[in-house]
Amino acid sequence: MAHYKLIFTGPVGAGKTTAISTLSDVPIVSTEARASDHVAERKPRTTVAMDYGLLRLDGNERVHLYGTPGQERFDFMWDILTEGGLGLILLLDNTRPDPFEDLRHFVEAFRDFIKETHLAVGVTRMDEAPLPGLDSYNEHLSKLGFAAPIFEVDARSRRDVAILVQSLLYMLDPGARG
Amino acid sequence: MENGGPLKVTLHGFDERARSMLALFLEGPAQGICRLANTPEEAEAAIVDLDGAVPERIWLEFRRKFNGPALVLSATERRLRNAHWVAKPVQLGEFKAAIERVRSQIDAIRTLKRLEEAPAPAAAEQPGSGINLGPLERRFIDIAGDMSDEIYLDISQRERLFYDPHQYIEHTLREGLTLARKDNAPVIFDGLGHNLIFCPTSHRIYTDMREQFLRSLCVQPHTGERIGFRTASSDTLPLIGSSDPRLQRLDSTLWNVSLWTSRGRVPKGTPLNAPIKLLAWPNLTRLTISPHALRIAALWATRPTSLMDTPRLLDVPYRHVFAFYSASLILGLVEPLGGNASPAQVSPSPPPLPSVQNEAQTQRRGLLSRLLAKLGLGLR
Ligand SMILES: Nc1nc2c(ncn2[C@@H]2O[C@H](COP(=O)(O)OP(=O)(O)OP(=O)(O)O)[C@@H](O)[C@H]2O)c(=O)[nH]1
Ligand SMILES: [Mg+2]
Repeated sequence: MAHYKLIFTGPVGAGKTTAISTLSDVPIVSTEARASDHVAERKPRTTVAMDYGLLRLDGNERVHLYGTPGQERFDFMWDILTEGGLGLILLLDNTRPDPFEDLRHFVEAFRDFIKETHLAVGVTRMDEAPLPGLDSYNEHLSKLGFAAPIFEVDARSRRDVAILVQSLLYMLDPGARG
Repeated sequence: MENGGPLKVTLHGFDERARSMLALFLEGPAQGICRLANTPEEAEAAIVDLDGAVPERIWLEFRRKFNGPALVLSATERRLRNAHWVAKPVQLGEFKAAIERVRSQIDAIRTLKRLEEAPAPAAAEQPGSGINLGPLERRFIDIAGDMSDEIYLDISQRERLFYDPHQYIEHTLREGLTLARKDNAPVIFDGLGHNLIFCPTSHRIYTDMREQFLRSLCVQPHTGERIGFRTASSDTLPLIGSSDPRLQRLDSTLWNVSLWTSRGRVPKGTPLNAPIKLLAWPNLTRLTISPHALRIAALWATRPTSLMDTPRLLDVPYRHVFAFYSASLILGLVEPLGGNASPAQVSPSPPPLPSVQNEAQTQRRGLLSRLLAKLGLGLR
């Protein structure tokens, strides 16, 4: 039986682990560790290799949910995780010092994968920092040569994460219907 | 390396001399870290010398033979898929660090395989598939009207598909917004019997109107004529805390105003046969999701399609497509292409969606549909 996967990526603390756990049907497997050095200032625990969750569909079909580690020193994991993935969900944290630089960084890093599949962007923590707005994200993304659904997302909300993932799936095939 | 022993490697791209030097290095300073594999099948990783005459050729040839993680040795930096660069001349410390990265990579691949092949773990508490509909989402008639597809296809009833925003409060509100943006100052509306203030800098509106009341204003023609608006200086406004429920999102209010006013129609003069392009996605996690909004948006984003073709292509009622267009228009998110201004006849039949011909595509569409249903908004 074919295995399908969805990849969640984004900078440290953007909400990848949280988003995967709000969707997953099973307790997520997360290789978290106490954050060292500068990461610890922002959050006590960080993902070091990956997050793993699972969505079960009827007929024993499964969709694997993978989260990449946020810290750059683990970026060798990215190629392995994306292989065979349906598409990329990029979470960005609106309270970070330069979220547009984060956007650029991740879009460049996953450029080939996005071209082969599709991208959906969720901007988190807009409750804490309403600015910049989504229109600025749209502008920056189009300068990078891509267009994608970009939504305000609270990674703790299943509804928000579900809408984000659905937009990605419809981009892959508007003919699909839930 | 299963038991923490040396990593078994195979070599590529080395000439005789370089090969024996590396062998000395592996048996000497790098002893215990990695060793040459006895057979190609046994190799867990590869070391590739990329300082040969045509590095690209060496790399391609290598990749045809070996798929696993690689250590790339060269004088200048190389960034290659699934490979870790080590500068020449090779320093023991850097070499060790690179081997460590390869080891974590191999571990990760093994973990992935194990996870994907393991029987599904017992279900956690089921998060409950499907999502509760908000009261707004239930009120489809309020936001998309109730005209049947026959009306949209009947040329003699064409008039009914259009409305004139100038006859509704929608137009007055838009003019007020334009003024607020131009003067970059709050705009107060008079004559509503309730407070209504646009605050352009915070993208919020302030109102003590109930939603039902605003909706009833939207539905009646000519309400706008008795309403005036003016800019105000910020210090004449009531003090509003950011958690005050009377403070609402401007985009979401305008979106609703447009849905309530249009009810399945589009503004007069909209070309029905011009392809519609989505310029940017509406923020659908924070706006009322009209039926099929995500599908329509995805189609217009990937493949501009006209108002008349979209319902047939997606097999959804016309009124939902028209409603989504009008709401997106008020936020400036859609654009008809090519300026085909004449609301002419219906084209014979829309070009089909990228067809699903082969087995794999059919299989994928099936999977996407099941996954969508599982994530469910209840909004088909
Ligand atoms: N206030 C607020 N908090 C959020 C939002 N989204 C996520 N969070 C919180 O942000 C914190 C960080 O989330 P994680 O899921 O650990 O982030 P991550 O992307 O996995 O981070 P790394 O593993 O370190 O790369 C959690 O405490 C979440 O509850 C949001 O929209 N608003
Ligand atoms: Mg994490």
